[in-house]
Amino acid sequence: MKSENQINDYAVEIENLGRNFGKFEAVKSVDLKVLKGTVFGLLGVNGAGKSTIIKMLVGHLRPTYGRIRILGRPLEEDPIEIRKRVAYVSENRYLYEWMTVAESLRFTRAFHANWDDAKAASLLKRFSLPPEKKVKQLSRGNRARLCLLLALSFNPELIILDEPTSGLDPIVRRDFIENIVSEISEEGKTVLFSSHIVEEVERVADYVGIINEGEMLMVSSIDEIKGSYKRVRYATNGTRPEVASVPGVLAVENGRHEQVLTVHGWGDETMLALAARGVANPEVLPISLEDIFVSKVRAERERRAGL
Amino acid sequence: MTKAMIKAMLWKEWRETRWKWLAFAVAFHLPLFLAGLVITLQESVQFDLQAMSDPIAGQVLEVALVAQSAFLITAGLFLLAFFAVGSVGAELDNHSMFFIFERPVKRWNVLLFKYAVGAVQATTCVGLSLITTLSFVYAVMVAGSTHVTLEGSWSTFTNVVANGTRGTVWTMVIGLMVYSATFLFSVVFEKWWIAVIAGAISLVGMFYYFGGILFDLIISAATRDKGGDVNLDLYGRLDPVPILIMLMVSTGLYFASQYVFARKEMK
Repeated sequence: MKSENQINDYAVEIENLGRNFGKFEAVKSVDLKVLKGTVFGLLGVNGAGKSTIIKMLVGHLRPTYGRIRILGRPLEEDPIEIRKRVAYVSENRYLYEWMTVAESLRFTRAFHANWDDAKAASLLKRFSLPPEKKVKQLSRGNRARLCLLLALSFNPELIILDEPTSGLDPIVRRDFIENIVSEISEEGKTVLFSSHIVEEVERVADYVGIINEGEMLMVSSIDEIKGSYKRVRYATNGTRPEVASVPGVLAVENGRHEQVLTVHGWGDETMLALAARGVANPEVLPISLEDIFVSKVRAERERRAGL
Repeated sequence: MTKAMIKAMLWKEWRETRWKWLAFAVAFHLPLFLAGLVITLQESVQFDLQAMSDPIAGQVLEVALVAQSAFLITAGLFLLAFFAVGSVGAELDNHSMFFIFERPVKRWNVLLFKYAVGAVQATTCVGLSLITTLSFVYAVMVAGSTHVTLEGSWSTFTNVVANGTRGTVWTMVIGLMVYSATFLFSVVFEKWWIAVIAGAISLVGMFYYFGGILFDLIISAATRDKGGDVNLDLYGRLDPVPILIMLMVSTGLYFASQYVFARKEMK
């Protein structure tokens, strides 16, 4: 009974998921769980495998291996039933160009039994979308808003957004992200979104997964990450101590008169190890998600290169 | 599938193909329209219908029937293939079909609607063009005549229309088969222009293989027999066996399209 409850706590469960394109491994043995009612950011550089994972989640691509459960159900069991409860907005925001905004709404409405007319009307007003305008005449920002409107108007339990702010200017990007946040806070829906922009993941996500070259490097809550990762700065006084081998040190940045470390699991043990290598008076600084992301990806690349 | 979904899908298919359908219908009648203009505008080719005997009026209509049939099984089939090939391929190519895939609707439903709407449009266009051709020629004859009397030629007209109706069934069945074949190409190839090339190659191949038989039919249809009439054997009967075989081939091609489509990944 307990395990059944645990299963139902997750909106998305991915187990040992992989996808090959010929000999190229786009996604390698990824495990991921997204709690219901949370915002999960899938962070990675372009080509890291984010979109491939998302396309497998929505059934556009078949996994080479591994399992996917959406809202407690295996994806392959009843994809139509799952699609009734899941909204997906693709990176390229596919719409029928010849339809007007109003026609797009009417057309989409026909497919969703729990379409909420009042909500659609309110979002149309909130996003200032002109109903009579054809989709091909819409700006990128308005296209993105229309896609979001169509995704939210049937009250999905899970919203999957692939690079939702890609190609948008900073003002529209922030507005877009804030609209998502308000939607979540109001209704407690689950959002899984991918992005290569660290700042927006940091702003809205409760949990983050860092993916690089098809591998999931880290999955954790933002609070936990910030609590367990630290930036440590100290003066070098002419000599640069060899600290890269200290356990927990992810990255070393060399300045002219200082070194800055990104450290996982900062504590007395790390401090003593650094002191043993000649580090004196280290200053512990707050760390941003960007610092962690860059350190993680860089460390992984160096590991692969055998450095 | 709910009633609302069916309505929405039909609306979308109609809105997307209505101009193509109209262009297709115009293209099928264009040669005939030009021929009609020649008859009506040039005084030298105008004729006195009152003075014409029934067989002469009949022959004009029969030649029109054979000419339109020849047009249908040559250029018409290529037009048909062009009509069919974009139906799925174009939507896959520009990814607009992803919009539907994001909805809770089964893939086979999506393809069924595309196939059904396209098949009805294509086959009615092909099939009805024979009847409209005959009506048009008749109307042009009447319009271009110096003394109009319908009595003399009406029975000839109805006789040829009966042949044209049977010809319509033949061309619709052949048209459906060609449409189904190119529809399959449209599903297999994501780039519509590759599907066009593949469709053209397959049609050329089909003509290479069946061409002799098809052209023999046209030639024999156009050749006068000993009685001085045009030989319209092809239009005089409806053989159920070849018609059923062609319908079965069309059904097989449709299911092959469904099979390919169900396994297609949306990259």
